[in-house]
Amino acid sequence: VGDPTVILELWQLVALGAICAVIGSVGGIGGASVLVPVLLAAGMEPRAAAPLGLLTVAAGSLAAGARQLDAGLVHHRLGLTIELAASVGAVGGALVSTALPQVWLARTLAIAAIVGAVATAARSGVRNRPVGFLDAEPPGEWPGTLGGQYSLDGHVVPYQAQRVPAGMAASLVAGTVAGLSGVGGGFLKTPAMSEIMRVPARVAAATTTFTLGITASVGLLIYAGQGRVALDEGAAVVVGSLLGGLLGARVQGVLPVPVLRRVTGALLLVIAGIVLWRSR
Amino acid sequence: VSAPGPDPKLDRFRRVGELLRVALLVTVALATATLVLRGAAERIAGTATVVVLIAVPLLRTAWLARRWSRRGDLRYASVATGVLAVATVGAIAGWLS
Repeated sequence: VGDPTVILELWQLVALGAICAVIGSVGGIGGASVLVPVLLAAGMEPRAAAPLGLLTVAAGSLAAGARQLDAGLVHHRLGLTIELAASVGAVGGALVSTALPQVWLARTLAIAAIVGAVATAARSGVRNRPVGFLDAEPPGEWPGTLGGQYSLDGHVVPYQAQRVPAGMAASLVAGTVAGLSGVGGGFLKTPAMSEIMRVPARVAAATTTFTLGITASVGLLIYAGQGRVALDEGAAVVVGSLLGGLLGARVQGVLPVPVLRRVTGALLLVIAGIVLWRSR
Repeated sequence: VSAPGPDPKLDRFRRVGELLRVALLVTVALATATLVLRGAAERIAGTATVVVLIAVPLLRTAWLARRWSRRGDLRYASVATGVLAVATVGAIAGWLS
């Protein structure tokens, strides 16, 4: 059990975890991408904030999982394909993070978030359109492929992941940034999947939520081995994250795609600003 | 886009969804117990919360690897197994560091 040098009461951590989980679920960027900078801004040590962030990620992923499965939004093959690259990057990043100056890590995180925001906001409109003949089919992934179909406005829309090597390269970068900084990396994975691999935003966000649970598991295994997981504070952010994750998953399925994209882009800019401010 | 058709065993994901809901309820109960209880019970509940959160995604990945392997989808079964291998290597490296 670690000593997190907590400067927030447990009920404040519950509320903060809930708010960050809603934001993270809606944008498909993971609650930790919001929670960790906020905890750092509140004065918590990075070594204490990182495990709480990953607990938020894991809880948010679990809370959203069943609903996203029911909606046929999660593409497991695609998720695990990019997670393979992301996990390698995350492990490598975590192992070298102790040798790099903190200010470099913070600025790397901020630059990556700005790139993600620009990529997300640059596109307008819905790329994948209903084709009509699939409307009687249930949404889901196609066996043996990185394609599938999802429901949009009462129609079934087919999609096929493109530029897979480029998407995996971006995911490797996302994983490395996640390993270096201690956040989930969803703020990079979702835009990479949507903009590089041409996967619909809702599928990209849901699939990213699935993969973030795996990234968090790997990180938490490492933090637990180092004795850095504070159980009280961890339970507080988990309770908050589960409540917020449930609400976020409902909002994610209702919001129009352009709104979802704009919200995600705006969040990324806010996160970049917080991190840059912290690294002055 | 050519569509080979939806997953013929899509219903199996419903069982996964049900298990995820159970895991969610268990996690809520354990985390709440951690905040309410004190002493050894608090530590046990807190540790169990973390264990469940770590185990669920990895078990889901292992289930997918087994399922795809049985159905002859060896490419993605290998991908899932690779993710588990990376997680194992990362965990070992973390515990040794």
